[in-house]
Amino acid sequence: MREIRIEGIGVSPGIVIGEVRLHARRRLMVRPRPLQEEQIPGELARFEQAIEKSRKGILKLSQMVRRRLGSDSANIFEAHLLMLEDPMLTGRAREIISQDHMNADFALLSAMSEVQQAFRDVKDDFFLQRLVDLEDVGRRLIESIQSGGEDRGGSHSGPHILIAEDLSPSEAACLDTKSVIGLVTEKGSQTSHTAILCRSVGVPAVVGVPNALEQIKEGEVCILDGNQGLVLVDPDSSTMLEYSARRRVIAGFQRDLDRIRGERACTLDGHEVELSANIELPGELQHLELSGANGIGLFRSEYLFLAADTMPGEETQFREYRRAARAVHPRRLIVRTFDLGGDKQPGGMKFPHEANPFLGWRAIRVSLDRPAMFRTQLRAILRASVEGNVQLMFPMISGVAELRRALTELDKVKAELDAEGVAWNRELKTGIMIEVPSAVLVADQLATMVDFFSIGTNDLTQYTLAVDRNNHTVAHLYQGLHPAVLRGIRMTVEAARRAGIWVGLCGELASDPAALMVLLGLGLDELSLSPVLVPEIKLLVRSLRMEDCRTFTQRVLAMSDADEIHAACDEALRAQFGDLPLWRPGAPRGDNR
Amino acid sequence: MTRELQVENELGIHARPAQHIVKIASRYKADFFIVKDGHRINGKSILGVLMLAAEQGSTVLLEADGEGATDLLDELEQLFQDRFYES
Repeated sequence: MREIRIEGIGVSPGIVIGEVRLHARRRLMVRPRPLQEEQIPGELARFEQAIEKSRKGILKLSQMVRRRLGSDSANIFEAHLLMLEDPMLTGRAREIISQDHMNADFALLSAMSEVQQAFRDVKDDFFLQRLVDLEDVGRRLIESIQSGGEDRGGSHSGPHILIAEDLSPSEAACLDTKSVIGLVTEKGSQTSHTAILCRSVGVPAVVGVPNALEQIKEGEVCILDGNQGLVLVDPDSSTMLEYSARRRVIAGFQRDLDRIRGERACTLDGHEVELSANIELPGELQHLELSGANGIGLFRSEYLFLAADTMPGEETQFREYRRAARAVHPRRLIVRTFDLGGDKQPGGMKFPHEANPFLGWRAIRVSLDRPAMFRTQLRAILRASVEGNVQLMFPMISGVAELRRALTELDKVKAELDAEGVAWNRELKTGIMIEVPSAVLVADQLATMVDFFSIGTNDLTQYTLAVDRNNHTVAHLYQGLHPAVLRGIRMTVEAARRAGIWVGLCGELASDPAALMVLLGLGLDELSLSPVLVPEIKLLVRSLRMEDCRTFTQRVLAMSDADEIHAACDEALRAQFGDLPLWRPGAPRGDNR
Repeated sequence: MTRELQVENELGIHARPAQHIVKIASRYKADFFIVKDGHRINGKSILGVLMLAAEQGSTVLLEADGEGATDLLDELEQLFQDRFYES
């Protein structure tokens, strides 16, 4: 036994035990093998069989992505299917087999490199990205040929814990959650999309594990503890016993959570807070009922096509918004307009290369600069608003002039629909995200122009503290409970109160049990969080007293040191709920619960 | 026979427009080629079409020869005019 403990950042709760698969792509071994004349027909037949198997594999993957992300995201697989019939790829490979008498896998690799050579003249990055698709299809074909017509498909491996360097948003979206029971990555952070995605589909995950691919070997057994951010490789029997016990405690806790699912999130002294869900995948809608969330506080519309090749049209968007609205009716659905740019760049759109993408062309700035795209989205949202429960929210608003421009566009689109005789909800409520420090400072002015605020603490924290949350060198300076961030939240809440509008919070902070007392004490009306974490937070709200939260918050707001605040919150959490197996985002390592 | 057409949609002939072109061309028996900046590619090959990297504002020459050549070119001209159903 050689038990190894590796620490990382727990980003999605749960404990799983299983075998490890490494997400390192196997190196292809292709050897030239000259064939005899009489072997050619057999080789050609083998090749056709491999193409057929690949076609089935791509169709399967495409269906999976369509189910999870919608049909626009699955579109790229249409291109993959066409490549299977491409004269320059499979057509050329057939020629090489029959004229040069070479084996099928070598013929295909040769055809692939001819195409790659030809692409050398292409300067445009945008088109060069398609080489990735060529490699994907080529690799699939070669693997099919070599395995005698077996396709790797979407999945044919048993349940396992996946270890990867990092996953792109679209790779994460394609994760087969039936076989992947846990995820460990070398890169990533609490707020990376992989983290958000794993939480949304309930797969326990630990990220930021340095050298995971070197420290853990294929086939080894691991315990992955997403609550504590721990990976235990090749655990010894006492560790196994301890973890089995811990899983039983969690199962008991789960029954408590199930019992309060339909209840309201009211404190012991009768203050209710709305707990709603952050939704980013169409597939998540079906789990919403189970979470007991009170509507959708943040519908990240950009995920409709982040993995897709082009912008969805008005009809597609309209149908998606209406579907979401109907799924939560009569509870509310807040659709946030596209938050593109930064680290979210869809395949079909060109983004300039920027030294500081997070300070650059993103979110509302992109929408205002692309009026056709913006209006298409606003039309789709307005048309869906006749369902009655749809609300609209703009991201990244930094000041009054910018908000005015967005509202002017909205008014134009409303007038346009009126002129066409298309119905929309006249009572439609419009709000903004407060996630830029400048918006906090002028929150009183912004509050008079909208119906609600939603504080996006992930961006507000990184902009307030000038810390890139994905930069490992400074990631430790990213402190969600920093006094400056808490003051920002307080200022925003006060501005909203004075203007008589409601104010919510939709960052990761909303799902941190240790932050809960402070958020309640600050007077937030709504918390929007990953649906899987709603039951836990609801249980806590229902065991707290608002009066205690306010007193505690006063004490915390007087502190000047972020570490002191974090310690006080941890202490309060332990005192109140020390015996519960709670999940803590990015919990301090080795923290004992 | 040939026809010269301009690419008008914002993103140019990226994956989805290329799919439309190849799917239409594959329904015809006629041989079909696209020429741009001295490169001549098989218009029934999605890789070939992508390789042209035809951006907004660029001009391409369509060459069709054989059964249904005129119909093919008409259908593609309409597709270009419709900006591949994009903006």
